[in-house]
Amino acid sequence: MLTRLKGGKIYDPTRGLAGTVGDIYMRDGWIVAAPAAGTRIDQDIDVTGRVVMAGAIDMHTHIGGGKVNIARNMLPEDHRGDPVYHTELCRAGCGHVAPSTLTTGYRYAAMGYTACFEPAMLPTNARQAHLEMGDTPIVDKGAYAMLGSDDFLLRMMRDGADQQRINDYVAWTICSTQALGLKVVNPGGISEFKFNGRKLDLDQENSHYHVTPRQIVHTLARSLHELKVPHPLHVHASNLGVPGNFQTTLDTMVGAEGYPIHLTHIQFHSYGTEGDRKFSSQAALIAEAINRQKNVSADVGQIMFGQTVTASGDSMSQHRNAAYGSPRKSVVMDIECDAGCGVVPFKYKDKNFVNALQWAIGLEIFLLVDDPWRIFLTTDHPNGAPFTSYPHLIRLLMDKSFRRDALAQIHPDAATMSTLGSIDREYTLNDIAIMTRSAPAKILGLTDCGHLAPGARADVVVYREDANPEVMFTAPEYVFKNGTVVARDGEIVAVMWGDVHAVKPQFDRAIEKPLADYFERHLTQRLGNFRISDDEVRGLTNGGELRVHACQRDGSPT
Amino acid sequence: MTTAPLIDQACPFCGLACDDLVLQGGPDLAVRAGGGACPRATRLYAQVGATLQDADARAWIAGAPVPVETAVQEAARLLGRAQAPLFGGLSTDVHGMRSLVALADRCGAVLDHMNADGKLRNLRTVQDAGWITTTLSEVRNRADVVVCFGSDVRTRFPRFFERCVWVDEPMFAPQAEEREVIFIGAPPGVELPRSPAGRMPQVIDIPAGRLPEAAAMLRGLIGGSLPAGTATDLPLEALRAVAARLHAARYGVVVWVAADMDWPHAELCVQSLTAAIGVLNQTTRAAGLPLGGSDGDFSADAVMLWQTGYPYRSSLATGTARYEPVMNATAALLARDEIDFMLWTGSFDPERRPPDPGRAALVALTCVGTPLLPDAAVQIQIATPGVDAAGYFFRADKVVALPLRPMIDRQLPSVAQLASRWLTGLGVAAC
Repeated sequence: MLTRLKGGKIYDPTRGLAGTVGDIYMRDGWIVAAPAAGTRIDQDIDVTGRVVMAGAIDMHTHIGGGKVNIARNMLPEDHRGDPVYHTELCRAGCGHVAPSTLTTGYRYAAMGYTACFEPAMLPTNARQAHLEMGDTPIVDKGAYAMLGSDDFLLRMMRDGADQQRINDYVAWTICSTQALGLKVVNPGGISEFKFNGRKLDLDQENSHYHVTPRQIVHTLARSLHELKVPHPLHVHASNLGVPGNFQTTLDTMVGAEGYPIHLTHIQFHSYGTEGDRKFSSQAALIAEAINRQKNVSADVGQIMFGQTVTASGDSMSQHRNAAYGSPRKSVVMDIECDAGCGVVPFKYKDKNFVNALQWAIGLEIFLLVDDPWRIFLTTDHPNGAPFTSYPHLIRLLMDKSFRRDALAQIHPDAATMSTLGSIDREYTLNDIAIMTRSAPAKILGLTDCGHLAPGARADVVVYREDANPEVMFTAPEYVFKNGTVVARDGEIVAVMWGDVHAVKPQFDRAIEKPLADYFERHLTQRLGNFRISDDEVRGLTNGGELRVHACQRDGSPT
Repeated sequence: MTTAPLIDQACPFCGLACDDLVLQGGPDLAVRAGGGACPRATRLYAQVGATLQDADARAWIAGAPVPVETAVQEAARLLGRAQAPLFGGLSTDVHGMRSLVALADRCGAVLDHMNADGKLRNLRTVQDAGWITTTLSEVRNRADVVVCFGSDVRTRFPRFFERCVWVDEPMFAPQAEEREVIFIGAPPGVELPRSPAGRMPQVIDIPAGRLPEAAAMLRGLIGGSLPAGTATDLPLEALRAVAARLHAARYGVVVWVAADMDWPHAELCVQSLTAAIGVLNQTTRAAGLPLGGSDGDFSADAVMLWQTGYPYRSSLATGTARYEPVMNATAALLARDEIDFMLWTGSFDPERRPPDPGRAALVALTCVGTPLLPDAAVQIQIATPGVDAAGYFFRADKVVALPLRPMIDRQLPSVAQLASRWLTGLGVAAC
């Protein structure tokens, strides 16, 4: 079937289109070129005056895996306030801060998102992550495997294994867990916490393995570069949430030594120690460093005021943060000599000085980083706020006066300490399209989504332009997934199952010999039961495909 | 299916899900000699994996053998007219549970697991205060002191000590013989595990019914102040020594089995233990290991959480999920005569059978080895994941989900197949 979206204002930054009036053609789930004159159009939709973009991509959202289920388990009180009733098409669910997988898929799709990426898949918990993502409807999914506090890597580094050998292990982990990328969380720190360490600075040695976070970041960033995995190392840096951590963050950027790295939820890593309360914004310094170092990208992890839950692999930080939980409860786990996790509910309050300044810091970073191709729109769902707050966040970025009104509401001392009031920048629709479509596709190596050129998946969103961007981005008029209308005006009208995105970097299979031996001698599951095969992951997608993206990277480190 | 032995198969017969078994397939399924299994697994593989002859009945209506298809249709008819259905038992794997939750959503059923009473003792603690826990491989490699509270552990988790405590080459902990194992209030008359060299664990006897007090004392001793009115007839000095030992440990682990804490408000006892662990972590490392997962209870729970947002003992009767763990208990629903239909699933243990359904029509999906149930309107023998169905099984630490593979083929339907048929093909949509 050939469908035409006629006369819309197309924002497709991948092709340099910023409001260009034109037509989009879709056939059999793909964007196609304009057909020859006289070709029959089966479905012709007039979208004159509407804004047309590719489906949005959330490159960092905790949608699947053990820690999300822990959050669901802990917070029935939150879920009670947000029941979701089943319909003819949709399953029942619930959840404001940690929705059920079905509700997650419906809500993302209704908002115009067609792909979501789980950023912290513990290798030992990968099967659960894929099971949960498999039950998340409509949107495409993918995940970044987590390394950096796992015993196998750290002992290899301690023993001076050569980089090639480490690359084999990294590639084996990505392939065995069906991942799209690799993340490091508090490098070496989750391990250090198991040895009773409470802090691990960038150049501090892990007390057992005697390797430093700087070495771990550098080794893994180099590994991905040599393996040509498109997505740079996804780095949750050391010292999350600690006042004064901006220096660690700056040093981490330098520590990559030119290898591409992506610093995640950088808002939580941009804190100074100035002022009476010894807590201040260093957003300007962080933004300036990103502007200067082209090998660095970041997502923000904006916080929004209200109840949420923080779910992280960073057990060391979450154990520390547990004291600030609201409601006051927390789950912290040490996991399989592999990783850890910590889940702490948070209620961010605009009248709380620290929370108010965190809010301002996130916005400062958004507005002070010049290049929208290297800064990504996230709340680190649900850590800064649930993903359903994105339309509000977009308005804060696009509407200076709205932002200033909001600034006037927060704790006055935080407002005073922030430069936010003096920043005039307003994001354009094209900037938003870059941040939420073109740039995530580019940084993840997804060549067939995030844009509207022929050959792309027909994931297309049609918005009614509105003076209030929050209204515009909350309930798009049409959302197409694989060429099918799945949502209209915020309502789900068709349910389908998205694909799983992965990469398959090459490695020497000889690495499996010491790994099989290691699993058998030290762990409590066998290697053959740990690995997830292509067929297995296909079996978890409810009919979606496994889309394997090419491993290619251009150039040498900057 | 294969007749050659298969290595590294995961066992679904307790929460440990040991995945080092060597299984010999068809026509009977058995653990191959020396294949790693414990007596419980050996028995259940033989029982649940027993051969069926072509002439053997696989389904019954009111006790009379019928073709499976007839029973499936009768179950659909009963489900279709149900006003207040309960899906109980829920002893199944991830695939089975996914299908059951989908069906429950359509039918407005309550979902409750056969092990929910035990699970709730832990869940209330998590929902009230949270906890610090660990996983099997961490215990294996890191624990220098293991305190087992209120349980011998081994009855329900036979290979726990073999796989997690008495091991060669722990990576960060003392060798097996130097590891300290302390039992507080193990059930009397049960033989406790010795180390490979024959060393007995330390045992602190607690009189029956006094475990909550002992837990509160331990918490007080670890925190540095005993609660007012502390009983003087409990072994205070021995518990004080345990507290000191845990403070001095590098990585102390407290193991409990909620299923063994069968007394009212046992969550308060769990909370005493988790609070004590919280205090220990102010200065050293310690973690809890709340063992469970048997009868697929963590598998069912994981699916409930991700598909509905709530643990089991939730109802979908109103068109959305509602979590009411007291109201939605199977026994309570039956006692109040509030259900008219019960779909009961028991995949792993023939000894676990449905309660008297009262007025409710009982459709029982049972594993091979389960006798004919006199109360069942319909009984269908089902494939067991890891025996003759593929599936996934969440282990005792809720982190590792192991694949279960079909080893033999007895032409039995899986829970997922049955639930999917009732969902899509048999008019259940109208109910």
